[in-house]
Amino acid sequence: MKNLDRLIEEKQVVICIGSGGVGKTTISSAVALEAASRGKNTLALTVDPSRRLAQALGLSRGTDSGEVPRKRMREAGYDDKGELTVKLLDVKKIFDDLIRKVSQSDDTASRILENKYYRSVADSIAGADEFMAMEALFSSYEKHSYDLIVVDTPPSEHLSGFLSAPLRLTSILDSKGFKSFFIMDRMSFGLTRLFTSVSFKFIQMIVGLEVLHDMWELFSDFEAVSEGINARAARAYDLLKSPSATFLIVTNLSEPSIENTIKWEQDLCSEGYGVEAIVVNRTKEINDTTGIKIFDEADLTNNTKLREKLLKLYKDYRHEADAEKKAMRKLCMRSSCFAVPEICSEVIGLGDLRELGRSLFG
Amino acid sequence: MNTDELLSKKLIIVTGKGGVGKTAVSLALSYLNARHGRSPVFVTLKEVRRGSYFFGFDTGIDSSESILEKGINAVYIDPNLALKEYIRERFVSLYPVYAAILKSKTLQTFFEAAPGLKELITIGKVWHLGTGGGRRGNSGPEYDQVIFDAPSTGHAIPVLDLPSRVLQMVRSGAFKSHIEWVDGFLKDPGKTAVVVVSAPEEMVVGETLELIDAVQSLGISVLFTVVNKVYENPFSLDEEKIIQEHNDRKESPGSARVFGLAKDHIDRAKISDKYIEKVRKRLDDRVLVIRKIYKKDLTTDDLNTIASGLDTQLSGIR
Repeated sequence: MKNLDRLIEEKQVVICIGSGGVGKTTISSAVALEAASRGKNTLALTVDPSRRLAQALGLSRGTDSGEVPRKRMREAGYDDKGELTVKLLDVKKIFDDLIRKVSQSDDTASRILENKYYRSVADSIAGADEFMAMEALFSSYEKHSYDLIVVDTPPSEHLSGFLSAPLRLTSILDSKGFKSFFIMDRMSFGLTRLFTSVSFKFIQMIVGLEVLHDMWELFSDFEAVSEGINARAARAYDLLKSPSATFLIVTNLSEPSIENTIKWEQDLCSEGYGVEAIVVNRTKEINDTTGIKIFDEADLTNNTKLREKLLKLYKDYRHEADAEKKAMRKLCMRSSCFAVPEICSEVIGLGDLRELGRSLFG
Repeated sequence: MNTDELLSKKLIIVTGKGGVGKTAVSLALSYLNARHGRSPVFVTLKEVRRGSYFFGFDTGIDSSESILEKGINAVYIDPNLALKEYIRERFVSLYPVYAAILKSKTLQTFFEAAPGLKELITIGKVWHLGTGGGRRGNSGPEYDQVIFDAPSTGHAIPVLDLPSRVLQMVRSGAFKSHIEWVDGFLKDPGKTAVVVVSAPEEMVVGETLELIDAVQSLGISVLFTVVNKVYENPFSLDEEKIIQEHNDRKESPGSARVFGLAKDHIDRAKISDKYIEKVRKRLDDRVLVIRKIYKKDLTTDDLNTIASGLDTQLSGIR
């Protein structure tokens, strides 16, 4: 694959995954802008853009949704054939919206949303971030207003969090053990099975009766909505596995990141997801061939001290670039890889994103 | 602020934006402890399998405390194991009838499903490592300092806030007093402090400043910030002039490359300085700097070098 043009032409959903700090937000913004430039009505779901990038993308302070001004796109060198909407993922809000969506009644929804336990800890559920990114994706997709949705995911060390979060959550709530645990008489908290009463007493001893009561209420009400959540999760997964969707793995070239990337690629492929490419971000390029002397040291400058410093600097950069080149070869044996060189500029603006895009698109 | 202040804490929580080098800094702080004859424990939430690259250490890190290198212990917290430990120590030892709980599938399920519990147990285990288990111990704590390589910003803040939030919910039960101990410990500046790792880039520094505010508003003390991967300018002003001259005129391709590189580097160094200044404004002299190491992957020698640099900076501060 020479470039990612095909992704823009053929796909409806692109999900960017990768460890924290590799540049998922930057890369997904670059992809979204290019798509809009080429006439696709695009939605970028973003997680934690820097303030200036958020502003550049049309998200003014305090808002969580905006359109990239066409004028700004033109100024940056893009065409303005398509529109780019940017939405900031707010986990808590998405969770609340989801509950409302799948509740049979407004009563159930408000009971859940007002439940003390839910309010205290809902956003700390491990995997909640990833789950909500998926839910945001799916609810946007349902509206059918976009040609392409680019998803910037929350930083995750474990891909399994992303893929399995919805299933884990709903399967746990459905699991036999849990259900039987909570089949209790509302008035007296009597239980159906003897062995669970010891567990019950124990848990009560630990967390106190009120918390248990709050949790029980939450999970009882949740039972009503879990089927709805399950159904949506299943459809979200179908979407991710369909030919309309694809994954981009964004990474750097540190050993741990390479290990993760290779593993994630294998896991995704074995689960039936499509990985379009690996994007290696912020590569150091010296742009000359290793080992070949490209300059005569003596010719550099007569100033000995300066020459020493220059050579040391060059050697340091060279060292890093060489190590990266080797690592790149190792990483790119299996998949299409694109290297996006580190750009020197301080603040990432639309113009820089277009510059980045040149490493990805034709 | 000086080295003694750093070493006097029982718990150092190292956090920051993803990718800035929290793990390297946490390990460097562990080395710093060892240099001063202290006994630290490095705590991580990621298991390090033997054979995978981890700074060139020839051993991995698993859920039993073990020696990473002479003078430095390390452990990985597995929340499920930590829960079992907690139950065994706090409850089964007092009420042996609950021994069966440890195998209970119900409990397992409850733990998986109950939001926040895993994180709470994790922070409880960190506390436990730092205090030797609090009031019950016959022996004092084994470690002089716990260095917790914490999750990155977005996850760290909710976890640090969790004890207070749970306390608002839990009105009774044995758990309550345990959570109170943990919460009190976190908010005691004599015991716990946060070290924020940063880098000289717009996105990172923006998040760093927000993170400092967020931690402080939780009532937890921020000891200092470490700005990592800093570009340092090795050139004098005269040399910069010469470099500029070379860049302005036509050079052979080889020379042009070298001078171009030098110019870019100087620019990066100036940007680094700018961002360091920004963080200094917020924290006064509580800002340490680690210069960029031109390697893809760091080794234990590098960690030692970093520790040495931090030590020097800390001792130099009045």
